[in-house]
Amino acid sequence: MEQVGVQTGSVLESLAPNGDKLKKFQRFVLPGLAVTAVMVLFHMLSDGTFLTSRNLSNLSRQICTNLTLATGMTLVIITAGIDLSVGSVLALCGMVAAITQVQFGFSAMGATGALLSTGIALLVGGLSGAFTGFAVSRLKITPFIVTLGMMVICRGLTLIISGAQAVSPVGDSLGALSSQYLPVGYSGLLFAAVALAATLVHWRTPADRRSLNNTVLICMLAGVGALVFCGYRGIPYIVFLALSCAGLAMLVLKYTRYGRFVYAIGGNTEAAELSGVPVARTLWITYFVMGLLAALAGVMDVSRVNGAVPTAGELAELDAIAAVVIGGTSLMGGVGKLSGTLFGVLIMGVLNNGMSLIGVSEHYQKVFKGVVIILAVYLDMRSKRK
Amino acid sequence: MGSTILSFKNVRKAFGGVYALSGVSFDVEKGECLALVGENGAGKSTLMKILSGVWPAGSYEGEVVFEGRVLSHKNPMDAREAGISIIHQELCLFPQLSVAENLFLSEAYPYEGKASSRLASRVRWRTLYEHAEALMNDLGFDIPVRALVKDLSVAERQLVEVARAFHQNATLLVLDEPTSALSQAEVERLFDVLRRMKGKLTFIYISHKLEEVFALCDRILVLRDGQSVGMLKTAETNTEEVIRHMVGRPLKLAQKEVSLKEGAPILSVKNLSHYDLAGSAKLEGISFDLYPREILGIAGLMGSGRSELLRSLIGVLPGTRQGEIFFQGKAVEWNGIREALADGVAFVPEDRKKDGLFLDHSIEFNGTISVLNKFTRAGLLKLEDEDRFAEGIFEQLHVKYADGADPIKVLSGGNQQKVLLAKMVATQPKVLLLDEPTRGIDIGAKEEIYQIIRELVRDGISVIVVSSELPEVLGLSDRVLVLREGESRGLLINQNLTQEKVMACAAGEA
Repeated sequence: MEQVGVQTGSVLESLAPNGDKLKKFQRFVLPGLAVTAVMVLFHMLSDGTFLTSRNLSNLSRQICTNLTLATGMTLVIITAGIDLSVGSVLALCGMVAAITQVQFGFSAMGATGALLSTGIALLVGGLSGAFTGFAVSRLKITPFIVTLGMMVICRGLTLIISGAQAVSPVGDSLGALSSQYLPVGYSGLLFAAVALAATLVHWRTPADRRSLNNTVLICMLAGVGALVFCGYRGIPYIVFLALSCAGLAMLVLKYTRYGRFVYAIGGNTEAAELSGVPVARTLWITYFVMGLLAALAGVMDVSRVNGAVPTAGELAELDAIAAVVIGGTSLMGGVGKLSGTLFGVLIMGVLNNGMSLIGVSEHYQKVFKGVVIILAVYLDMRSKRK
Repeated sequence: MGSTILSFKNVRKAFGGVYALSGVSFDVEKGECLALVGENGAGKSTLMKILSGVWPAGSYEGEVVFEGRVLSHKNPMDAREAGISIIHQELCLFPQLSVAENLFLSEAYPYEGKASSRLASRVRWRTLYEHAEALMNDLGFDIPVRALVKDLSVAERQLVEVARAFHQNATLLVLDEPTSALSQAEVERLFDVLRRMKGKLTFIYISHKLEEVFALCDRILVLRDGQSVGMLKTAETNTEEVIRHMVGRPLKLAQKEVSLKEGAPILSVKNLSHYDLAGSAKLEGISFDLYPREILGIAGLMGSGRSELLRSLIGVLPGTRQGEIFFQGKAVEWNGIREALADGVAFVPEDRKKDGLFLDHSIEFNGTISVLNKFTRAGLLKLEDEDRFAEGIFEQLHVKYADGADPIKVLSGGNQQKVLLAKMVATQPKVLLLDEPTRGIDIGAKEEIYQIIRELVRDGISVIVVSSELPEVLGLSDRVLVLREGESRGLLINQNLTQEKVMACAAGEA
């Protein structure tokens, strides 16, 4: 199978045009083909279970926490920062949500209780992010150090408030976030609306600004989404939530001053400062948002496993960072895209799900994932250079 | 003259179909000092990269013969072994290591009296320092070999580089803009050293500063658009002829029409002092007024506090500021560029790459980052409005570019500088503070920038311009504030003012 994939690649490469187009081909089309080939491989080795609506729908639910973390991490890394605390913040906020559900009796309050728990978790995540942001932007401590400290602090707090015990079960309303679906009909309408909106926007945009490729890509993705989710119960609410966060962040990066400032700070902090960019405030907001997203990921996690464990989210920060760098965002800051991060999250998810499905042991999975991270970033670097 | 040590024979080098060098031929005599001049983009750096092995043999057309053999460098290491040494604009020293270590590091530390490149060899520190001292004595350099390079002045570091090249048995030494960060006295000292070493070594001296070229070099090779367009004997030519060759057209150095300004000053600085974090004075008791539509030049040697004055004014210089600043009659205390910009005072820093540009980003990104609020509606950027705004401001500042979405890296230094100016002019300032507005850009682009500055003044902006180049200060300013060691040495009216008078003031003779 591997060989077939490689051959297809080289044949296509010889057909691809030169120069800029070749570069685009190498950066975008080839990875897409590679992932497709891997997915087909998983499908065959799993006796036809991998590429079913049911499995892909499950896969999409599994990657939601990582997508949410990686969305925030993309912003942080574009500012040339890093946040190592997100896994612990996820655990702390998840634990807070679970405790409010179980011990405060919010689980009996239905949707209101679920919202209250989520709100309190967001508050905790926001506070943690605000503190990190304050230490990075005002006290000017390196993000690596601040967030390393926060990682340990939050893990400790999680163990303290939980007494190192798992807390469960949470109420059905909170569980619904991951177990309930937007009905098939509405889901289909939503995808149709996305495709239509993309086409309309394309049509209204002046010719020199629009890109047919992007519009076609969005429509194709909407089509694939419709195929997957309408074939199995509809869009899970948790997926809807995670994708909304990522999509919103994408728009913020492109269409707001804050987004510009994020790129400017990562590109050249000195120059940003001297251009009048509010560097401290922008950094502060970025870490604050990261905290909120980590809290949200915590709630998603609690909802998915119907409770909180003190070890939740261990190494989650590394998965998020891996997804971001696989997506082509530079750890040096200044360059990066959320669409790339989405791709990185998908790759990680496909590998996790696919390997589990075909019975590769946990231990080997780790080795494979590590290899893929290094290889993906190396290939991306190379395609950018030449 | 002696024998030929280096000759280029119709060398051509293309990058993706565009020729950076399209036929360069010249000979360098052994022991001479050859100046290499040309505007940015003329091909100087490509030529140097061929010489230094960055572009290996085979990646260019034509032939380069060095000491009788055709150049076959595969990498910079080969070039150095062949005896070609290049001292770059940005020095390649290790700031945390001592002078002695820097001298010997690239090959080996002395080991048992001999050099050894084994990684595990024990360093004979005393031998190392003795060798280094002997070398410095030979060359007549007065530099402590145990000092860390980071504690040396830029000029001293330059000499360490020269010593290192000499030690490595270089026969051809290429100096790339070696004086861009030196004071006049330091330049003189470097030139003394170079003159003494002429004969022992062959020099290729790259510079934008023609006075230096005439003071030091025997012959001048002019490059233009990738071709060698002239080889002039210094003794038989003059500045105008060289410039004519460089630009391909006669260039008139415009005489400044000085008009003394009246009325209330727009900016008044009274008794400004600035102490750095260690408590030592960077600036002491500086007072001046800036009048509407005036260009105030600030001159002074390296370390006189020129750039510090601008940075202190807007509050981006570390440490504490004392004294009073009045802007349009009101007392102000700017603590950062944002506060200054809000009042209408903009600043363009001197180091384009480090403090000015976002190199990963587009021309437009660089031009509009300070004024995004101008095309934000309901919190969202209107990208078409941004395009239109950028086109307008770039046209006003005569930026030459193909597409605003292109990365800023593709622009020449002069055009990058214009984008930086555009970024600040876009904020519609009343006062523009310019720190070395034409550093490292070619003569043609300099003249364009001067023109732009004059146009801005005509439109009502007042300008303070800091420059290490006196012709620039004299060509632009209505008055010149001369600084020396952080103190004001005089506020001279630019009438019958000469470089000599300013220099005398700056060096403390007057």
